[in-house]
Amino acid sequence: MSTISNYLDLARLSVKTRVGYRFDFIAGSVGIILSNLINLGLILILTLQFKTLLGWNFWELVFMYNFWLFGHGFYSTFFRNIENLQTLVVSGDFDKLLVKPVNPLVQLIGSQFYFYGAGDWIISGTMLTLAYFQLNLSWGPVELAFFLISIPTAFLIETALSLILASLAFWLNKTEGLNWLVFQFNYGLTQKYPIDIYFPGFQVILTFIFPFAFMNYFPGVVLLGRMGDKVLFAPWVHFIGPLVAVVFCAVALIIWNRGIRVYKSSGS
Amino acid sequence: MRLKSYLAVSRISFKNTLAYRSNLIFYTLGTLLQLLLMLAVWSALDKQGALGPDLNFKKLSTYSALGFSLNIGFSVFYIYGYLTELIRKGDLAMELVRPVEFMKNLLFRYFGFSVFRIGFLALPFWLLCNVVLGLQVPPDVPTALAFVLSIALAYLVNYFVFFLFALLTFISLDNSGIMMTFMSISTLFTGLYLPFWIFPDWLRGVAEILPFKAIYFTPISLYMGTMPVGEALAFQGAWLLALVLLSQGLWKLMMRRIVVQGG
Repeated sequence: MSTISNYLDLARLSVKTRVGYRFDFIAGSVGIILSNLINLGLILILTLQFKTLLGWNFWELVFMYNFWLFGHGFYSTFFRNIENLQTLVVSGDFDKLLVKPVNPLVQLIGSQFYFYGAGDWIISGTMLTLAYFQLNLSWGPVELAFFLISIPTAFLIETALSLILASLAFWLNKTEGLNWLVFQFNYGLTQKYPIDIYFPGFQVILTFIFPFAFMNYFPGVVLLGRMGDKVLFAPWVHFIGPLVAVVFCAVALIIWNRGIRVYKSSGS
Repeated sequence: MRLKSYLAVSRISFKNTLAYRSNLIFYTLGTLLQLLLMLAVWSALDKQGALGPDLNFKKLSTYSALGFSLNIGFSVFYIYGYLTELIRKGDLAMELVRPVEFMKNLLFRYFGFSVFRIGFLALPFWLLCNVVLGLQVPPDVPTALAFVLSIALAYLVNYFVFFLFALLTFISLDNSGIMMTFMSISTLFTGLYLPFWIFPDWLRGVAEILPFKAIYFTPISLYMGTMPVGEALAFQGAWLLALVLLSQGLWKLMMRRIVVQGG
């Protein structure tokens, strides 16, 4: 598997370039932890004042928020460099990836890691554990397996959507505003609160168009034992996350490959 | 006559803004999403009958709509990008030898940038919210007039608080954590997302004295008639004065120990 060994070589190089920026790493991780604590603080203020939010109590809201964040940690650490594709295409630097004898997608993903994504895991790992015990959950092996498969589901959906959006740069050049807006549906809505509190139109968008809700809401309802009153659309929708992830990854790869074929260097 | 050269700076940054107005429109749509999020929260609480007699959906939606309208006009992202570029490329040295004061130069750059955001994004956003949501209006005309002054003070307080954060960038030569910390604190203590009315008492005690309050909570409370006009303006004015003095002092101190990257 030369692709994987190429990726690992690139990863090693990436680590070496980042070692020099130790302060950057610490400040970045602290920033991530702080901003998430503040968001959880907002949830705490709301639930202290109003007890529940549409039937969700504080720890359930904490669970949903951090379930998203735990999967997202993989995206934000290992796959985030996809977001730099637009810059490479506009500047013409994407040429460099095409002339090397390594798969350009591997080069794009492997050329930079964002280690302060560790902050995502520290906060979400802690909070998920706390929520698990505060809510007296007791998962059997089936629930545990479902939890474990939900993690790659989450970061693959995020990665696929990121790649689809980034690939639009091959046709449109300037896409950062659009990318940012779509990811607001992710960071801004899906992560913050269970999607059943939003207007129905948003629930449709977050399930069928930008399916970020499979990162936390759909599996989360199952794992929190709320299938009785919090099913959205239909019970089976809550279990198809892995399938959605595979389909979106396939679509993303098709779009990426087409994009490379239409890519014309900006020259200079 | 020196003012003329600073106004030229404003004009140029206004033109720069126009170059990426399509992105700005996307960012504004993102803010619209945040407003819709808060409206969904308020409406969920309203539906479950949790709001009580003092709060109601109309009051809370007015609060959020006004907050996010101001947020669109107050954005400091452009100045953040401009500063980090200067530092990353080491161009800061060039800026410092120019015959205009760097601090004023930056402020006027920010004015130019804000013209488009306030006139073409924030104002239409606010009007649209009023038409769609049917929001509260100020209790009387003097309050409405004082509100305009309060916005101006809030705008400046926001700028100087951010400028002080940005100065930390000069000390640490790092900028990834700065904006995140600034945004986090803004999220909570400016009252942009949650009004202080629903804070627990101890937290409200802290929030009431910090300068962040002057950015969103104070002007919105003034607009809604829940804070006396004099108290609101005095709070904002006092903090603005303190922040300007603090910025100038820190800036002078900083210039003595500046490290310029690259070459």
